Amino acid sequence: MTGEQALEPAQELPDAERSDGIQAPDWAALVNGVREGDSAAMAELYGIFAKGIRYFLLRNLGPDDLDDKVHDCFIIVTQAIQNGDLREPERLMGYVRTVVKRQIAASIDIAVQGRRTRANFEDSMFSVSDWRDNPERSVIARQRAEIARKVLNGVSRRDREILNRFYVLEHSQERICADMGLSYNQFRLLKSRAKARFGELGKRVAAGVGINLKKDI
Amino acid sequence: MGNDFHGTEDQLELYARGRLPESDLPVLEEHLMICTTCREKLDEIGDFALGMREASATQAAPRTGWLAWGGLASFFRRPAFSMALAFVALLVVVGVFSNGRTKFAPSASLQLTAMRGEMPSTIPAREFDLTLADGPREGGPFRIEVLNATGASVWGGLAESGPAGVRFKLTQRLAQGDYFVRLYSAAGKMLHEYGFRIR
Repeated sequence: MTGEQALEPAQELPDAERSDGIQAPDWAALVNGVREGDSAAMAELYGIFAKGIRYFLLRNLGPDDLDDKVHDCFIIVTQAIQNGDLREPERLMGYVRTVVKRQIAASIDIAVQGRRTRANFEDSMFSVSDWRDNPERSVIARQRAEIARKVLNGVSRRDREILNRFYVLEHSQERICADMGLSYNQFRLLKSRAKARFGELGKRVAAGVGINLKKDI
Repeated sequence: MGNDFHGTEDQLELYARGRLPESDLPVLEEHLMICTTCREKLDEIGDFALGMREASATQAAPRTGWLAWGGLASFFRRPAFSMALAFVALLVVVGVFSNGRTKFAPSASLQLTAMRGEMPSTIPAREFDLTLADGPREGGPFRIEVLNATGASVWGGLAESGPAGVRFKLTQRLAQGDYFVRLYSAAGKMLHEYGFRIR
């Protein structure tokens, strides 16, 4: 082992990041409140659904009938709580995750069935675009690619190769570090700088400040 | 372990790339359900990874071509090949001036389905006979809108349904590029979106 590797805090990093946690709600108290019909507890639980669960459903199923799906999951979870089906209240989010996963699987199943039978056209999952692309997404993708290209043009050829190997060729960081003689921290720093530049340019575009996407750095 | 610990950058990155081990999924996903910061970070990581892939995909092709050209440059600098090259260039110039612009076929037919996959493609034409194969077989008329890749509307019209789906004639010259067809119900609700490419 080299001296540099011995000094790397790579193994310590996860714990360091994990120490910066958030204050999660007291799940047992929340479940108890919902079971007793406390409106504040219901509102708190719905707050989690309106953001976190919504995010999951959107990420996995897209925007179609999103509010209905969020609501369905909420109803299933609150009914389970009120029926006393939740045996470990402190594991509430584990149960919620299971419900969401089932909802996602069921929605995919409905979509597959719909495709197979082509029945009930207006009300089926086909009621909105399921094409892999649309004009809005094309524009966003083009803009994102331009920003990424600008970031890539701003780094050295070697750094570009590292980013390409990791994000495009999907080589593992261990392999890249071994092949290119990099320490874990050097690899991480490069990714982090490139991401920061990408985020900075993206924010400028979003804020309407504008950048000359065609012009290299 | 509870839900109150943020995922590490590496975990989020693996998750965004669909590479997080199955055993780590529950903890991270349960945390993501309650942590806005990690959700935002995940979106940023996903965007960045996508951007890198898209940028590399569009850069790879021209670079290969350019490198290949660079390697052949000295070969083409020889006088005999310079003459040949000049002759080819002359032919190209004559070709361009004789045509003036893209050749459009009188018409082209295309059958579209709103299924993910490769975009069906056709040649530039003056008009297109389009069939939305998985469109409704009864009812209508349906409103159709055709957009180009920048989202600009290039054609609009009405279409009737039939046994083969919804058919319509797109009476508009379309040059090379990606186009999207949106099918609306009589009530104005978008029913389907289709894509096709003109090469």
